[in-house]
Amino acid sequence: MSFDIEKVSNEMISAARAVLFAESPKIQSCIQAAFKEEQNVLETIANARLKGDIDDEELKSQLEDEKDVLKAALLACKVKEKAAAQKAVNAAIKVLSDAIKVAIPAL
Amino acid sequence: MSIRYSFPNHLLKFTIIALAIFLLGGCLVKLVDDYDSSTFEEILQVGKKVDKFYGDLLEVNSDERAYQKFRAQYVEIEVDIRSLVTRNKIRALNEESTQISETILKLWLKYKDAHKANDTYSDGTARLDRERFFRLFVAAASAERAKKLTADDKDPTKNSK
Repeated sequence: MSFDIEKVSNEMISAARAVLFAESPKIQSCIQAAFKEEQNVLETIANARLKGDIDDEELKSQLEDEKDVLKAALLACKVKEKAAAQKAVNAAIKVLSDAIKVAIPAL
Repeated sequence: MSIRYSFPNHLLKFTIIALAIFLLGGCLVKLVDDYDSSTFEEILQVGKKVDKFYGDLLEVNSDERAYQKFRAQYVEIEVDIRSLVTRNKIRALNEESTQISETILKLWLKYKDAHKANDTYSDGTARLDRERFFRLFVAAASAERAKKLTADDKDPTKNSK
């Protein structure tokens, strides 16, 4: 039976790393987009106050609510991050599984 | 005379390897719940209802926006949002989506109570709140779609090809 555990371990790490490298930009982009959008909305709220569309009390309430929205946007990014981590680990497991299946016929 | 039986070497190796493969099948990493298309559709439907609510409200003159006029819609949409919260809460590994839907419910009730207390809803506030809900439903839909994985991502020990 031919099963080089060190070789398989290195291949597992490479597989996981490849997935993370591919997914990482999407997660970064998600976080950046969330903050960029929040910046735009805060500007809109500030302009609404300056124009008199909302008063000080409403401004305070709006800003308070924006904390919740930013948090929600970042939670969505967190799901993407978790899914990426799952894909990475399972890619490594697949390498191990395939290596074992190949090794069995060699018995 | 004692007879000793020694397990054949190749059979021992085979057993260990077969066991390893069997165990691997139960050792998959799962960090997020599976994608649920019906939840995704419900997010879009409820989001659409909330958007229509604000669209209808903004079409009416601000002095004609008494709470009573919109009471039934508030209740109907609150029920829809609660349904979304329930759907998310009963799923394992679904904390983020649950929190997002709970935020939607929290703000819906807050704005409903404000409308009831003031018995009106200003244009400025309504426009901002409408956009807020739009972004919240986008976050909810994005979180759900992020759970869409290929068969390999779910179970790498099975041959997908």
